[in-house]
Amino acid sequence: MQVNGHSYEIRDEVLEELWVRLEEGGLESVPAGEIILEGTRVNEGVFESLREDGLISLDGSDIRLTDKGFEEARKTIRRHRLSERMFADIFDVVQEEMEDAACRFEHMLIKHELEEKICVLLGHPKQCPHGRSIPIGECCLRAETMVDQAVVPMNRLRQGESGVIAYVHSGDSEKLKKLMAMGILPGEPVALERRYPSFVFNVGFSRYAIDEGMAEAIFIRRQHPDKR
Amino acid sequence: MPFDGLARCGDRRHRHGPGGKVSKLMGVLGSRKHRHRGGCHTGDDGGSVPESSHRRILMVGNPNVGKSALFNRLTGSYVVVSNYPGTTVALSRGRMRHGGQEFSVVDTPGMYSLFSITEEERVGRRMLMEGDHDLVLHVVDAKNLNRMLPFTLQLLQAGLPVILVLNIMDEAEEAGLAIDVETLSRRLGIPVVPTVSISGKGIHPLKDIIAAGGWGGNGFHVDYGLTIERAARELAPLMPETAFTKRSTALLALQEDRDVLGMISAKGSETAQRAFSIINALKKDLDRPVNYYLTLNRQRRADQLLEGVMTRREVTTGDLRRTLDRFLINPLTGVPILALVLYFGFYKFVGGFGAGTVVDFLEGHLFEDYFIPFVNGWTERLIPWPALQDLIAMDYGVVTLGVRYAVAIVMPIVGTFFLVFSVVEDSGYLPRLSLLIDKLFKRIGLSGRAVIPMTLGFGCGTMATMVTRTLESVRERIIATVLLALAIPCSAQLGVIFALAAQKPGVIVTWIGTVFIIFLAVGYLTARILPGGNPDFFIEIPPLRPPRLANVWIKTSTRMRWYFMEILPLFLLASVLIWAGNLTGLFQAALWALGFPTRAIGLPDEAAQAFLFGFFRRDYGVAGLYDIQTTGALTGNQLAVATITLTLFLPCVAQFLVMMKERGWRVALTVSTFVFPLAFAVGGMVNYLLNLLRIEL
Repeated sequence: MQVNGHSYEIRDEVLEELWVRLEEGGLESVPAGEIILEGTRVNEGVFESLREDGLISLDGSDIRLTDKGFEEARKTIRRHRLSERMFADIFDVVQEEMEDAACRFEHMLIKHELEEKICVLLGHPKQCPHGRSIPIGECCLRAETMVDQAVVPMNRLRQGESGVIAYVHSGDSEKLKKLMAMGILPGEPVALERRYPSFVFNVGFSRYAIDEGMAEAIFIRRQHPDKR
Repeated sequence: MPFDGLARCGDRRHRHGPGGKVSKLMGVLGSRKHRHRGGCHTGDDGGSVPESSHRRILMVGNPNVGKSALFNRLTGSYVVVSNYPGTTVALSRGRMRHGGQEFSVVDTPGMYSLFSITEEERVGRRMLMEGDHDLVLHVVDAKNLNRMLPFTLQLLQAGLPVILVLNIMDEAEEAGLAIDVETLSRRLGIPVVPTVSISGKGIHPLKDIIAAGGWGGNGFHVDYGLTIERAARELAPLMPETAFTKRSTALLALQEDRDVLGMISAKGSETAQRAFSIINALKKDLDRPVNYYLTLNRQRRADQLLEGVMTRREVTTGDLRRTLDRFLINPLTGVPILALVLYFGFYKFVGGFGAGTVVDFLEGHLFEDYFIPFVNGWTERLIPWPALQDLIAMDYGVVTLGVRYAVAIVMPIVGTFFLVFSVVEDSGYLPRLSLLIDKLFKRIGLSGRAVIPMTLGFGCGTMATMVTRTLESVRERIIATVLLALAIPCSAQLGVIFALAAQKPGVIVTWIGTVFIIFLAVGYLTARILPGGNPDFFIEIPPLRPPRLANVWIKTSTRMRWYFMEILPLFLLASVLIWAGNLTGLFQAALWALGFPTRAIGLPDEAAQAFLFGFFRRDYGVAGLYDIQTTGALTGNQLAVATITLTLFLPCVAQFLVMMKERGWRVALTVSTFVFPLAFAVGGMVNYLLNLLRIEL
């Protein structure tokens, strides 16, 4: 089977899809016919090339990831979601453009160094803009031991610290709506005035007090990360 | 009005609002749709405008932007229809005359956006949707224009004719902000008018622009990206007819707005099914609420529009104000300041001046010496039947008891309380207090936002129980209602208790300590028992400012007016009930029954009467104790036990009725049956402990 440049991308897409189905969906195997990318079935040849590289095993038409394939898929997913995070946080692009751009960009992250740099830049994010988790990289493990991250929830900011709202995320959609109504939106600069007894901060020309539960939902990109 | 933000609220069931039900709304939509567009007048009607052709102005905007003050400026009067205190809640209606034309003006409760989160916001939204208006005034706080402009965009997008009013310009200028009004107006394609409603600046130009007419919607377009736009396009034809553009209604539907979904369902199951499948499909495509993306896009568009329009230079706020502010929100200094406010504002001014000086003069002098003898005399002369005489005059008469208590005792106390409360409210202190107290309140299932009803409870528990409806969840409302009924003494009661125990600091300390412990314990337990989680706490902190006389006056007088309209009749009812009770012997029976628990907690028989009266008016009860005490019948211990029991005892009739109205009879009865034994149990326990420890207060 010939592997031309184009199908590298398809291979990655297939691996990502398999990761989502098997790792996140909790399945043992997936029938090849169910792997559908952009509305079309995947060419048999792609599976064949993945199998030849030892990334998947085929049991009839059921596909499983091998250990090697599992690791490869994890990295691919990580690159994809990191890219999304980057386009959403740094370039501030809207949903569809972000997805489109991320799909292209992820393939440029194959160089390990570049992936790490972006991960550091983004503050080792835990979730993609859709709220799905980003697999941890080596750099994230290293960063866990460091105190300061670039993007942290407001309740981890120190008193007097300032930054820019990177994103708002909460499992509770009511909380999210309230924050939106208050004008707490990505891109707005904030300064944390007090942490106790409530979180007091300035956004724009308004000043708010909120409790810790709401502060947890506001993720701030620190302006002057204190490198102690 | 720094506190409107907290207390925005509309009465959902009656009185206010264009109709509580979606169905009602739909009933009128057909006939009223798009009326404002076709009916746009050109403004040359001449002097006498017939009633039917009054053009109608609807005022909308965030809470806390000075909308009410603007309303008063436009209409030139303080017409406050069906307003209830603590809030600008309902719809205020008034008339504005300018350039020989007449307009009707309606002010709506604060709302943050067209997508309404709370029940309260929906009142104004429904009015907008009904389209029963020719012009919408969107009032914003100029210094927060960037945050409020997205709402303007929503209104324009909905196809409504809008004038944007940049209010509170003075504060924006103080903050070093400059706004290029003309450029903004050109970019938006609508008139933009800067005003200062408190001082009246800019009001005349605003009226000129309104009177010039020629307003119309311009369908300003904000793009929300392919996915959402596609869904909105598919959904639009299925939307009901309202004053909004179909696209705008579709966008609301995509956010699963309850009202709009209700209207869609009413269009028949086939339409509804198609609509819901579009909505659900979009939800699957997006991993965050649709609302999130809409808000984000609108904000981005607003920021674009404001580029070069809004500029800021650095200004340093007054050092004194900043320092005071810091002290207020720091618990170390904030708590002592709270103690000072309570001591001087409430203990000294309300307790000392209101309950002391003013009551002594009105009750002790005017009523005792002149009014009561006069009424008694004439009643005896004109009415021959003693039973009827007792109804009007004598000990428990409607005039001699009801009116006397309402006017001579309660009015001065409640009036001074409302005055202090309004001053505190206007200064911006309450939001700071709420952030200070949030952590404590979370323990009892409330959030810092509950400081309003809770502090108001020290003025009048009845009014406070009404204001609990501004709390977010039913759970919070119930907890607040229970605590108000049980452990928050009203000002009338406080006044008399302080007078009773003035010579006995031990009694006051025991009383405050016990009631406070019960407050926390019951709050904690109620929060444990009721299902549901703790409420979120979030509040905007307005700048501190010296209270403005006009605001304080409006707030105090509105509350006083409410008090008289709502409470006075209940006073009168109470005295009729007491009269009837006396006449039928029911009263004596109740007294006899109450005698047992009263004696059980070590109090003399006479105290039973105080408890019984306490139900009719809590302060009647304490006043009754006062009589007993002046005869020297109560020891210090008994006084402590009596005041504690009476404070915890059932709320007064008025509060009970409001509890029933607001929370339903089941909650009201449960609370009452729980409070009754608890009050006596706590009283008995305190009595037992004092005796056990051989403490003589």
